[in-house]
Amino acid sequence: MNFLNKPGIQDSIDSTKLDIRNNKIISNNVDFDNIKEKTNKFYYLILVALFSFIAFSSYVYLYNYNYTNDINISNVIDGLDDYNNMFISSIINTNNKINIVLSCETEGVLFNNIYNMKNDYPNLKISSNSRSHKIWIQEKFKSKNISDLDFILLLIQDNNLNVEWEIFNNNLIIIGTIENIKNLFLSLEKKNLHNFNFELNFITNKWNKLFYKLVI
Amino acid sequence: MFSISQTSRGFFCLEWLSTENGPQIITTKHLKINNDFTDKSLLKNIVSQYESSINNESNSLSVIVSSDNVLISSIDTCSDEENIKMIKWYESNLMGADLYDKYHNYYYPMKSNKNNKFLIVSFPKNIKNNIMKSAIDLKLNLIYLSVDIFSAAVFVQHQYQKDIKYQYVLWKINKNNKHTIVLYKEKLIYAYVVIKKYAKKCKQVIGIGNNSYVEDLTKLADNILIHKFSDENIKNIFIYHTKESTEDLKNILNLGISSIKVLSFNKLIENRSKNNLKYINYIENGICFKGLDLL
Repeated sequence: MNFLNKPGIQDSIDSTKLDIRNNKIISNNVDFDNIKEKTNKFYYLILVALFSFIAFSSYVYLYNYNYTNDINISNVIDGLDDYNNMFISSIINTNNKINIVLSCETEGVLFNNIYNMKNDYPNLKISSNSRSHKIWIQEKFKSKNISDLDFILLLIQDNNLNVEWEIFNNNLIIIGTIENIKNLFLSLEKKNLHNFNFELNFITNKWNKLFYKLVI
Repeated sequence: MFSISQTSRGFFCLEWLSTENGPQIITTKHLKINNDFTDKSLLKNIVSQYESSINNESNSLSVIVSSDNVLISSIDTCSDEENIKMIKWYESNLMGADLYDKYHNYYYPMKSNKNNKFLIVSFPKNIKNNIMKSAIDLKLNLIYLSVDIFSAAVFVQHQYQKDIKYQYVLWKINKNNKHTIVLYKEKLIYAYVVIKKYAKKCKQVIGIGNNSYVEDLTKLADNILIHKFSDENIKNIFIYHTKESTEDLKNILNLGISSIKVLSFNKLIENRSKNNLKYINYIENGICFKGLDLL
């Protein structure tokens, strides 16, 4: 019986499952209430820190680059437009995140819509007070800037899209109804133009139509 | 290799070297010093006192502690699959946190008729740590750490290989009329008993193993110590002691029971003595010869 063996069940009285070799610990089952133990603990601390760093780095990497799926804004608009008594307040796609704010008429509508919406958008937040009832959706998609604005203008012209546009400070500003804007995104997506930076904001409700400003 | 065995009388130390004729013990020394291994400087004291005799050709070390320092018990489990589960339950519910925190528990399979049985040797963590730390400080390579009678058993297994194909008994005569007797078959422990001899009978103090084996050993001790005979069911009984007085041992040997053999290191000593009992107190260093051909 050699009690340098690892404690626990032994194969036989001759078991040679040593816990140490040449006085060096090869298992953490041997206690050292001295410097050796501290050195050992420090070693494990370094290992834990290293693994934590790798895990964190991996998380950050995945967080930034693991959302390469394309998002079809036309589908998003189409889907959100189907909800009753709710309209899109804004859609902003910048810095690899898309933020969507939806306005509901009442608190009841807000909760009812959330119930149906949470399967498609798990990251929902709500804000409700006596005057406004809003839903905020945030999702991650890698986004990029569009440099060729002429291409979009050509597309608007070729598809006879009923929108007003203007270029101001190197930004293309487009005004139109939500339907017109959706058609514009649909045309862009057909040309494989996805995930670009833009800001879409509700302007006004005129002639029973909702008008939006799209800044690309 | 340098080997130290702890007894109630101090430490019996020896050093052996490999020679053309096999391992030879080149020095022996009995150190009558404080023998408490919870003292962190103990191993250093032993080595410093032995240093004048020690041959520095090897830095290997074996340390054998007295069974007074360890706890010996047993556990039965239902099946191989349940072993680990039941042992964990046993450690957490029956041993308790204090015992578990202070001892390393070693579970050795025992011969058993029904359930799985384990002999538990609970070795104090502080003693193990002190010895290991001291060995590092002294730049000695600690190879073996064992407990008295279990270390002597290793010597028996190597010295008497031919005689122990079947079951054999290892018998240690302790002080205060106590005797530790272990029944082995091959390398499996069948029973471990401690008995105390009274004027007209032997009383079992500890009995671990199947009842039949425990009873056999108790009866064996009773027959030899009280009734002065042996029915010789067991062909090989190896006996030794670490006491100063040889009276008890001689009383047993004088019975002339052929199955009883006294353990001796004489074959391994350079200037061997005719007195077989001269180095008997060093027998518990037996594990330091593990793996060597001593025939």
